[in-house]
Amino acid sequence: MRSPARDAEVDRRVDEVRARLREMGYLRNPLEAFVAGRVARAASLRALAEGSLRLGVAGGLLVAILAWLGTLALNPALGVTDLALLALYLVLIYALSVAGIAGVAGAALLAVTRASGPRSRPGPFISASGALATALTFLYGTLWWRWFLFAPDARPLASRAHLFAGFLIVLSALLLGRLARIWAAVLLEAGRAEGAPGAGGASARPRTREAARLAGAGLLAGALFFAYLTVTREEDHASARWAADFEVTLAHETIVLIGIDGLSWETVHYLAERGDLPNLAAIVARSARAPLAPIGDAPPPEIWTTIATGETPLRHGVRAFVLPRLAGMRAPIAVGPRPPAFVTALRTVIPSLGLATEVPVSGLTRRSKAIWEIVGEKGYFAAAVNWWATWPAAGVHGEEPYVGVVSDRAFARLTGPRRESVDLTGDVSDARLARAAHEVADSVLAALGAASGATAPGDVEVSRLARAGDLFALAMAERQFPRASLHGEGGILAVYLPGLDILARPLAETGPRAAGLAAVDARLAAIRGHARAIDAAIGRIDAHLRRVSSPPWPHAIALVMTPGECDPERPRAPGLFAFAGPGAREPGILPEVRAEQIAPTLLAYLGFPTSRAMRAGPRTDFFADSLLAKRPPTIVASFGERRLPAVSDASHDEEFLERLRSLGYIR
Amino acid sequence: MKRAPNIERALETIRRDVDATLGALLPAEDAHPRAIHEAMRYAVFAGGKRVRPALLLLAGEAVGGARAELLDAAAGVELIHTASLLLDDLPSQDDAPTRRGRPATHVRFGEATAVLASTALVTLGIRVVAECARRRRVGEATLARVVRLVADAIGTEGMIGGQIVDLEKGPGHDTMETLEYIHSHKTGALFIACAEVGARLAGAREAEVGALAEHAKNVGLAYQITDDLLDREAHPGTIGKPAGQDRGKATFATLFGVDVSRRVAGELFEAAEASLRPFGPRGRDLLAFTRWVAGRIA
Repeated sequence: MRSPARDAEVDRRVDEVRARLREMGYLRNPLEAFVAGRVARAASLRALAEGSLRLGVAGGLLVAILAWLGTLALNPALGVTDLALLALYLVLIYALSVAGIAGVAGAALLAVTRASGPRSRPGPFISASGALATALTFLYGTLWWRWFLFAPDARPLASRAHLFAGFLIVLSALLLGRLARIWAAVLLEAGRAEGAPGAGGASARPRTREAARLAGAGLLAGALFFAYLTVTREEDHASARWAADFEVTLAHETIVLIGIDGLSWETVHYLAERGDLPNLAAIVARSARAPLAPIGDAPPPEIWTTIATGETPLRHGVRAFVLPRLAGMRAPIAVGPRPPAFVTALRTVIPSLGLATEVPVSGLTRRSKAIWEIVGEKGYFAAAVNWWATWPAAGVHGEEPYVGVVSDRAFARLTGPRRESVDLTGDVSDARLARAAHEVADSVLAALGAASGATAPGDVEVSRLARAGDLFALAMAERQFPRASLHGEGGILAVYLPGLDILARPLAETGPRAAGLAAVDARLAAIRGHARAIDAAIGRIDAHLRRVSSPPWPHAIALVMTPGECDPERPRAPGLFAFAGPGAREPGILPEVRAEQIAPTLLAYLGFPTSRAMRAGPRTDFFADSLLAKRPPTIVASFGERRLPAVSDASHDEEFLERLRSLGYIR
Repeated sequence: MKRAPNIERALETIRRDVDATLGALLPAEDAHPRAIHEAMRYAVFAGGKRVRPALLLLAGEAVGGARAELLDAAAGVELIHTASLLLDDLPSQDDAPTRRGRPATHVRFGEATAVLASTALVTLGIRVVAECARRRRVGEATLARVVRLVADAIGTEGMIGGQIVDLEKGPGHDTMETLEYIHSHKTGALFIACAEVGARLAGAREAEVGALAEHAKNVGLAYQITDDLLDREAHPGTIGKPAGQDRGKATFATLFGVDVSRRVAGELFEAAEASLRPFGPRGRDLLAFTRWVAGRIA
């Protein structure tokens, strides 16, 4: 007669013997057999490399899933093909990484085993190897989670996404731990085959098992704790998810936002005092104005996207002039500010292997809505000209109402090597703007044809393009006015002028001594001349607006100026924000304003709420009390996800990249 | 466990073929010097089941090899196995007076002749395997690999290593690790060598060799555990040596009990069967062989 207690004892002992046999290389399941390969039979260098690669494939697959999901969270608009290719790249990178680690650790273990003889108690060592791998993977996964999906500035994700990520981290940690145990057992077996048998070890088993159980319980508790944190945090964002539904206090004003790159607070006042910028000086003088806080050494695309979205670079995702695009993929990959190993590999190893190309910054990686998109979605007039990361240009709702976009690539295409055949699809948002763009480009280039301020042969074209680009942008902005006035419900028109910054770059890069005094003098004259030119154009716009202002089309003008990227004082020098119009505060200097405060301030002026996703609230001290009484600031959880435009023809990426190079933005 | 219907007949055929090959390979009994040749033939034709040659042949067939071309190698490993039995039975070793129901070789011919016969069988076995590999034109690397596999299975990394640990371990020092070492070296090493040699001579891919080695490793240990159980349960006809001969020695059964050993052996056989899945129908005979070995304790 068999008793249940005896059966249970037999079961327990079978479990124990089975576990120990597995450590000795018996009873391998297919995964274990796959990893073990022929290392256990022949501990040669080749067998070790082959085994490491097998482990890398199995382990890399697990970690790649984590990284893939993280990248997916940051790049929600990737297509199926791109996602598949990305998965392939990630598996490749992580497989090689895991294989490298496994190979080095394996070689070391084999060397030690050969030198000191086989371990008398392999069990605890194998368990410790597994526990170490589990702990390291768990740590890596947790940090990845923290940086990618759970960072204070990161976009909120649904609770289930976090729970799934947590589950995957725990699962990957456990499975990689298992793989490490297999690998350690295989290597010890290989070493053991060359040495004497073990003696003892049985007494260590129960303690090892207990430790493994404790470690498992700890991991589970950790996962539950993170899940709890996630859920409680998610409650704050629950209503924010995809919520773009909000009321707007009816506004009739239109804001004309002019961004000028390359003018600091000091420079603009210096030039104004010299009488070089009469129109800008007049606008500033009648504005509520404040120094714009120094912006550090961030590149212009990042700064001006922050200004346009009110969100931090981590959220809006525009970080640099160029991004890596993996071979075969249609879109570049946006990454977080603290890139994990994958991104480091992406930026170093992959390009050197010829598997990635650099593509210019574009709207494909901008995840946050710009102010003109928020306004346009509500049916108000909205337009943007030449602002960074606006390519490919896409109307939000089709023809009417819409966001009229003349992208940051439009002028480059109209003046590029294939200008004769350019149809501007994707460069501007509709056919009427395309026609206007052709006309305007021709006229500004013709006007500048004879008047070059440059001194060196290569400089002529750069200088001409820089100046023409600004004048093109201002003229295209003017072309939008009739539509704005027809619309009649207010809105926003944003135009970005990079010319002064571009003109100043050669001076900063070569230095006055290298350039020669005559060249420096000519360059300064060109800068001053261009400052006067854009001042005149802005003055013309201001005059026009003032002529047509008051009902039915009241307008406000907002000027944003930042020191140029090549200005050595840039990290510390303040820019300028000036705001004038009906409902604005009376002229005067206000405390420093930050770049992230500009978009919420302009939105509040138009009667729009701001969102919690924005880094800061509106600066209501720029508004008159009457306006504040009429439109008290409100806040919504979110303006919703930006619908990324479909990838337009990216065949001229290289052309735009070349333009960025020739203008001195990149080398 | 269910036995394949024809496996016993197939094994009988293999036994006959191997015996015929052995008969042709071994020097004639009356060849000079007669004493040693007589002892060699006496030891070899003592009625063994030819498990190792069967494993070699079936492993080779599982990867598409032809039996006729592998028979010499199969006979070679049987010579080596027999040599090890001669040494095992010596008074200085296990001191077994009988083997397979008749006087052990050293009892019949004397210790000196038995030692010499054992050495002669080993060298002949290695030569036969190497010759077989050469005739198969497997290439220098594979030939060297095959010879090394067999040599390792005999030497201190194989049977001799296992035997010396078995002799040296003192009473009360029996642990699973020690026991596994002895089994894996005394029995498992030659099992694995059989499978690998059969596969490599048949031109197997590395992954196939790995799977067959995996199979042999599990079968080798399971076979030894089974042997210990049969010895304990005294089925002399099945084990080919006096029942209870191993009494007093550490075995899985003495360490963990009969029930645990039986179940562990069963799991090892199952794992061995699982290793054969990639071979599909070609591995059917080897699978049947595995089940036949497992069936000895079923």
